Amino acid sequence: MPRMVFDQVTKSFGGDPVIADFSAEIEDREFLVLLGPSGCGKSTMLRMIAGLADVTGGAISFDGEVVNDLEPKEREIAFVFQSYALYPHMTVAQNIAFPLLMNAFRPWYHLPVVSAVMKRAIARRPEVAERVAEVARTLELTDYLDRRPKSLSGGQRQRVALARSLVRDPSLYLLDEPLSNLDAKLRTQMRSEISGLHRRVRKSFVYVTHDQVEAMTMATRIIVLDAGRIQQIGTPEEIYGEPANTFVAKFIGSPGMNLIPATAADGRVTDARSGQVLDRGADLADGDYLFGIRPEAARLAADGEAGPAATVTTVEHLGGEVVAGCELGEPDAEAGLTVDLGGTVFIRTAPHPSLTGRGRVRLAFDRGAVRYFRADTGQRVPATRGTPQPQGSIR
Amino acid sequence: MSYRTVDGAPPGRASAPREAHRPARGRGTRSRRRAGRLLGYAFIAPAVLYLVVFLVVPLLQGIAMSFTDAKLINPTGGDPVGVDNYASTLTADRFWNSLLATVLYTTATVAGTVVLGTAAAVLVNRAFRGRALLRSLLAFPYAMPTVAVALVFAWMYNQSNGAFNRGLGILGIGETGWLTDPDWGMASVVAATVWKVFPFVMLVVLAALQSVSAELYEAARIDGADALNTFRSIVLPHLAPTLRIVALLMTIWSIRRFEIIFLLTGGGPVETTNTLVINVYRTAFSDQNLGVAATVGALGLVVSLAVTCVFLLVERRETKREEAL
Repeated sequence: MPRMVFDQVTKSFGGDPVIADFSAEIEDREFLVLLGPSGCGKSTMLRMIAGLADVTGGAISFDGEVVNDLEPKEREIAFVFQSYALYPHMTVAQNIAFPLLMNAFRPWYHLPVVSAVMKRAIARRPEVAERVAEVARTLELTDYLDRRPKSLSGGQRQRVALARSLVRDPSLYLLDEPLSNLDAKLRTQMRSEISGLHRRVRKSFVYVTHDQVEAMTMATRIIVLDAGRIQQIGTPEEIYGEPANTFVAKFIGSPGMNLIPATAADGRVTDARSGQVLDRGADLADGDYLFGIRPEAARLAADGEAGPAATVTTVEHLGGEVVAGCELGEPDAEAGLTVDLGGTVFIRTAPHPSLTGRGRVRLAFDRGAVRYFRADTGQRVPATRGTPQPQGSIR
Repeated sequence: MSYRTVDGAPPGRASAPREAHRPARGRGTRSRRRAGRLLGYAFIAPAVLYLVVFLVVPLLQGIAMSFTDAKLINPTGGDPVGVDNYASTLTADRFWNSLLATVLYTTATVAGTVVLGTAAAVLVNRAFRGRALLRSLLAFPYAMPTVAVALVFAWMYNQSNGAFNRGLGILGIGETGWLTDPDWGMASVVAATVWKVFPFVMLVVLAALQSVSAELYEAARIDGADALNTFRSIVLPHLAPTLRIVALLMTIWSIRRFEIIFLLTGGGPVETTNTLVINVYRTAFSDQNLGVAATVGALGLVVSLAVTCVFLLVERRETKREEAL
């Protein structure tokens, strides 16, 4: 059960840095998710943890021991691949038993004839057979033990891959986008199965995904990566509620956080394009900011309630709720508003009759959920109205 | 979006005449089908003609000749002798020695080329500096003309001036008659053949190796498999179908290989390399006995077909076993 420390880890391919100054400390038994868009370096990071890729610079430590030069089998890890990497000519039982077989294999077994005899003998050992049966039972694979991977469904293959990693009882589970080849329904089911597995085995998991739903539902801690750099480390709640910068704010959430270019002057925050007041009494120095609000923290203003005017442009019905895109401002000079429409603000709310195409509405924001980001750097401005700082340890 | 029938007519317009003139339309369809069939035959006719003229006719002529006492000086003037040729061939030591030489040559060549070719493929499948150059060098023997290879090896095997004996002489080892000593004749011919042919196996196996997913190697590494176990447990099963096909091809080619054996030993020394094909040639053109040569050829064909059938049966059984799992 290692406590992992990443100390300025870097990885370059032919001089091009893929991971730069990756520093973090991960406690034992965490379910850590490396989250980021395609090509951000998260899989490379996972492969370095596994020992499948060399570390160009810095150090990865497990419980204080630098593991940079250790072979994968010396790291007590299991790895679940995106494509599952099941051995196609072996049955499910043979796939699951393979790590046990290799663990018991001695170099002199390589002698001709001895190899085949010993492999068969190891596979027939009661402890091996019992362990395979136990793991198969845990992952509901008992009925498929004699099948080959090609005759299994995607979900079953995924479970075999998990079983193969589970059978050795490793200290650390590494999972590389394991659900990306499954359909949406199966993905939901497997998410809860993997979370359940983490609770049962009480070991550390490092899980790579670009799917924020997977990250938010399974992680105890998330590292958000972009272009090989850590953007934020934190719990799912911190990452969602207190994004460190505009990348995290936009990347997390569907739709992501609304970021409206705004100007602050004397505590009054106005939309930079339509000139409408977005917030009052904000504890901000005068200057340019990005006014951040999650779609569910924006709503239609009640009758008589003040709020910026907007024009509804898109409406998506999601069953019990609606996601509506609203352009700040109103194309009506007589109403005293500018015709220069601002950016689109998405609101997630209950269905409402006024939410139709080109409908004119007024918006209201949950002021406690408003976050400000510097317009020039994209970094979040320290707490306003007492919002806490993220707890993640970016060193 | 509007759509049309396969004839290009809109659906409504196409269906009405179809109903009204069904018999006429039926005749038209039948004639089109017949024309299509004829066109198919026309396409395969050149290939069929080629096979009949250059394969079936000579084969039948050869089999017919095996029942005559035809001689080289009068190939078409042989008299029927029934199964006398078969009886005399099957009771003579020469045929059985020839069959033994064929089996030895084929077994050794197939084993040598498959093992060496697979090893070379595994080697050049790894990433290292100069890999492309090594691949080209290893593939080079296959590109060389067989006659050139045979002449070069004949020179290297030369008892007094050959490179092998000179090299051994430096080490203080006496001369060996690589192509004249009955103990070494077959081994020398097999070695030259393996050198010439193994690149074919290497290239085919290399193609199969490149279809093994990199993640399988990594999974095996994570599971604690060393290089040898990875090869035996993961790679070799993946290569098995390819190796079976390659072994079949190498077997067929070895049974019927002529040039390199003929140019190196001509069937000697003491007939140790007198394979069935060399035997046919010698019987036909040295002994001038075409009838018996045709008989040996027909028996060789039976051997060749039997081996092929065994391979195909094994292949079919493996395929069925794979499908059952």
